[in-house]
Order: sequence, then structure tokens, then C-alpha cells
Amino acid sequence: MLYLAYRHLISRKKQTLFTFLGVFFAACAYVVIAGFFLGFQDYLVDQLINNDAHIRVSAREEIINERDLDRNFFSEAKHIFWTVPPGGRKDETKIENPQGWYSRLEKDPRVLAYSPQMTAQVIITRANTSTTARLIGSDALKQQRVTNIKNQMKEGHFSDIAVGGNRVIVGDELLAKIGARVSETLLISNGKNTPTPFKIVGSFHIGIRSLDQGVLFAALQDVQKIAQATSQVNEIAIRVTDVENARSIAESWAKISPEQVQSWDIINSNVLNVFNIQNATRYLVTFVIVLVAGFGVYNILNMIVIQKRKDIAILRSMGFDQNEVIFLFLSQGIILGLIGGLTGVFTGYWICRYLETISFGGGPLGSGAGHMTISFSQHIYFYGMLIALISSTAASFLPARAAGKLTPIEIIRSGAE
Amino acid sequence: MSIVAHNIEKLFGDPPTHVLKGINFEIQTGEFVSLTGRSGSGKSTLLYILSSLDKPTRGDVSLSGLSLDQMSETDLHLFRNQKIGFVFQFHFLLPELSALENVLMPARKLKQENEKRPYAIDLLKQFGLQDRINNLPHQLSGGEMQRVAIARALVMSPEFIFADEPTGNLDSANGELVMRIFHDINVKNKTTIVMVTHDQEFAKNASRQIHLADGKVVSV
Ligand SMILES: Nc1ncnc2c1ncn2[C@@H]1O[C@H](COP(=O)(O)OP(=O)(O)O)[C@@H](O)[C@H]1O
Ligand SMILES: [Mg+2]
Repeated sequence: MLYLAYRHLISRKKQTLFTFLGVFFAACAYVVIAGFFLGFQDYLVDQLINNDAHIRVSAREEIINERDLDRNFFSEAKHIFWTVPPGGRKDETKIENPQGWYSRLEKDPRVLAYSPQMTAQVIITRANTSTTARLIGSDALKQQRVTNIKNQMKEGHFSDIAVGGNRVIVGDELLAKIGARVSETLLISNGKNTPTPFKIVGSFHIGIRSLDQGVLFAALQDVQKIAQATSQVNEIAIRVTDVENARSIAESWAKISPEQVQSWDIINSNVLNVFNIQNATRYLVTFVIVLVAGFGVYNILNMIVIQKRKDIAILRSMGFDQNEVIFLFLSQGIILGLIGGLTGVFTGYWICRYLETISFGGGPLGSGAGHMTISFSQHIYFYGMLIALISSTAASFLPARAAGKLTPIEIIRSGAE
Repeated sequence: MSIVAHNIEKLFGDPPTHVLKGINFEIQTGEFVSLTGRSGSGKSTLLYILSSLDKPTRGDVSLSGLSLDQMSETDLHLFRNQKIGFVFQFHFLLPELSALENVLMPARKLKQENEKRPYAIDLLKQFGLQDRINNLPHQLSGGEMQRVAIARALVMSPEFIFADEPTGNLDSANGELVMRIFHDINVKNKTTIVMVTHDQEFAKNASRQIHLADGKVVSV
């Protein structure tokens, strides 16, 4: 029967070609669309994972409630009435027991590196310009192991701040904003103390605008001084050996500590939510593609079954049974699905290879790759093939079953007339 | 007993029309029987019932001692493939296959196309088609197409040939050629042949005539 199916296909070249093209384009389009979207997502996730910490432990911002200070002030009193009840945010937020965290992180084999940080909101002044920014204090050597900052330096070395002594590394856009250059001096204050001069020893470009525009790095002890919080840290950035585990590790730590512990996917959940919308779009497009390709196969096979009634009748009289007749037409759909799918997926691959070479100004975050990132995941090709096969098989099923149900006598009777 | 028809009745439609009203006869192995009667007398209907293509409303048919009613679908298809050859008024050749490929089509059911190939070629040669072996049906004349169809019916060396007005579409020269082929098969291979015809001349070629009138067998 496969033999006859093949002969059917090659004897009506035009129809076969059209149906083939439908399946071909479906598989091809799927591979390109999925490659494009997933490539973009992979790129973004890659950026998030490689450039930043996988897990952040940060001090909780404590809100003071009406009764929180009762015991501090009136330890003996039974009934306390405030004229103006205490409220607002606790002044300094800090990790309560950083030593406990360090020993836990040292011991944990899943942790690759960690970097305690002190982050302060500061005012920076140069000549007559002032702006607010975030000053991140860390141990430069530890910080380099947790994030990719070492490779994102534009000028200078990140380790230049390791020795301390009031040196800063500034985001390139922030530098431009205040009109400063490397080796100049900035005044930095937390708004309450007198400004301290800091020497600019380098600049960085991460590619995330909020960071390039609003962040400075300095040594941990220098920032602690600015923040008037000696030996305190308010954040610990952590890199784990296997990023797949980041979330479960973060969740397990969150249960046993008062601090907030967040994995990279939670921190960036807004970005990941965009993926969901992208994926929904992709599924919808795929669905339409499948529908169009499937309808093409269905239409043509339906027509062929009607045209081939006489052939079906004589095959039945030769002793071919219902299933063999079904197979005759079903296999044509499968052959079209296989060939259309294979060639479509193959062509899609080459289109993707071409797309990859297209360059555009900066990556999705305004920097980065500089050319399109396309996913070449095996899954895409597997699903592209599967979609082609399933849609053409499903589409040929109904016509094939109709062919199987034809009874030979009616056709033979009418054939004689 | 090669073919036994026992109380065959056939009703069609609603309200039912009684086309066959109790047919009884026996046909011996190697007989060549013509089935005659005027148009609409139920000749084709009876032939399809005898040959397993259709089921009687009542009654039973046995071929080579096997009751068709009791055969499973699988066995019925195998029986048709191995033991029965059909020739219709229309040739029903598959348009995308050559003459030889058409003849070999029944052999494909059990993947015997290669063993049967020499015999198929031999049949086509016997029927004067040695130059037409690789022609497609549309490259053949009506008489040639019908001869290819007969070769196809014979390729499995069946016990039975059922033919429904096989000469109906042919001119008299081609018709006589077909009748000579049937005669030869019957004599040489001892194949049992049941042939529907309304041509009295051709009916006389047969060793016996079964005449249908008013849904009954009039003369056996
Ligand atoms: N499927 C059917 N439905 C209704 N009537 C039918 C059907 N097949 C055959 N008939 C009727 O049965 C009668 C016998 O038909 P048929 O066997 O073809 O006669 P013949 O071959 O002798 O000319 C005719 O009257 C025909 O109209
Ligand atoms: Mg008839």
C-alpha cells in the first residue's frame, strides 16, 4: 500500500507540491519563530544569570508598629497610650547575624561564592552638579566572583577599589551625567554627614540602564563609614554552582532566617512575566500555522478520496481490507508530514543561521550581543517535526477513514454505467 | 460442490423491493456458467452476493464448501484475494500504474509481487499485450484495458472468476477475444466461471445458462 501511496503522490505533482509547501512552511515558520523568541529569552536569562548574583539575602525593611516601642520606653507600665504613636521605617536596615550567614555559606557545597554588601543611598556632588545614586560597598575580590562586573569594566580594574581608601568605580552613564572623568574626585554624602571626597578609579558598563546611570562601587568599609554603620551589611549576594537550584535553595534559607532571601528569577519576575506573554503569542501563531497546514492536507486528501472512489472499490474487490485502504491515504499524509517537516525544519535552521548574523545596535537591553541571539535548542527542532507530523496525520485521518468506509458494490455499480 | 446458493433473497430500500426471491442452485468446480436475464432482473445483485462483495438479506452462499456468512472479515478478504478474480464491465485499472503493475496489484496484499511477476508478464503476452506491459492505462485501447483487467483477475490463479458483463463496453471483435480467453482459462485451468451477460451469443459459450426472471431462476 505504501507503494501505491507513493505512486499516488508522484502522479499528482501539483497537488502534492502545494500540500508539501503548506507543511514545509509550517515547520519552517515554527522553527524560526521559536528560535527567535526563545533565543531572545535565553539571551536575557543568560544575562541575568551570568551578570548578577543568583541569590540575594537582604535585610528586611522594618516598619514600626504602634506597640513596637512600648517595652523599650515603659517596661513596667500596663496600659500605654501614645499621644502620637510611633511609626515609620526603622532607620538602618541590616542583616542581623551576618557571621551566622557567612559560616552557613562557607559550609554549603552548593554555594560557589558570596559577597557581603553595604548599599547606601547617597548624594554625589561634582562642582555644581549633584545627583542621587546608589553606592554599593563590597569586598572587590568577592564581588568579582559573584557578578560579572570584572568583565564589564570600561576603564580601570574593579579590583582597584579593593584596598579601600575612598575610591569609587562609577557607571559610565552616571559619569557622563555629572560630567566627570576617571581620576577626578567626587563628593559623596548620605545626606546627613559632611561629604567625603572619593577618587574615581574606573567606570563600568553593564548594559542595564538603571545600573549604568545610578550605581557606584566602593570598598565595603568605605561605604560603611559613609552610612555610619560600621561593620554592618545589608545584603549578601550569592552565586551557586547550579543555577537550576537557586530557587529551592533560596526558599529553604528563607524559612530559617529573618532576612529576605530571593533567587534571581523572583527578583526578575517582571522580566520573566514578559516571557509568558511572548510564549502565549508564540503558541497562538503556532496554532494558526498548524491549522493552515493541516487544512491544506485535509482539503486535498478529501478531494483525492472522492476522485479515487473507483480505485478504492477495485482494491476492496481484490481483497484489500478497510484498514489497508485507510493506510493508503493516511500514509500519504504521513509522508507529506515527514518530508515537509524535515525539509521545513532544515530550511528553518538555515534561516535561523542567517538571522543570527544580522546585527543591530546593542542587544535587547541596549547593549550586549550586538546581533540577534537565536535559540538552536533541540526541542525546537523536535517540536517542529512533531507539529508537521501530527498536523498532517490528523488532517489525513478523516479523509482516510471516509475512504475506508466506502463499500465497493455501490461504486462498481455506478462505474459500470 | 463449488458454489452453492441456498434460498438467496435480497431486498433493497424502503419500502423494500424484493429483487431476489429465493434463489437455489449449485455450480460444480470447473463449470462455466452464464447468468442471463433482462436488464434489472437482478443479475448483478446475484453475482455480487455469490462473490462475497454483498450480503444476501436471507439465505447463504458457500464457496468451496465454506459458508460466506460464517467467515471472519479477515478470512473473507484473504479468500477474495487468493481464490476470486473479478472482471467488471468497466476495467477499474489504477491510472497511475502501468499495465504490469496493475496486474501485480492483487499480489501486493501478501507481498508476492516478485514471485508473480513472470506469470503476470506471461498472461499479458498470452493476451497479445507484450508491447503494452509498461504502458499506463490511458495509453491503452478499451479492449486492451479489459484484457489487462482480466490478467489482473487471473494473476493469483483463482478458483473462481466472477464477471459482470465483461464485454459490455467492447466492440464485437474485442468481445469475442475476451470470450475466447475465458473459454481457454476454463478449459486449461479448470477455473469456475460465472459470467453475467445479456448477449445470447456469448451466453452460448458457457457450459450452462442460469436465467433470471422476476427474481427467480427460470431455467438452470
Ligand atoms: N443499492 C440499491 N438500492 C436500491 N435498489 C437497487 C440497488 N441495487 C440494485 N437495485 C435494484 O435492483 C434491481 C436489480 O438490479 P441489478 O442487479 O443491477 O440488475 P441487472 O444487473 O440484472 O441489470 C434493479 O431494479 C435495481 O434498481
Ligand atoms: Mg447489471
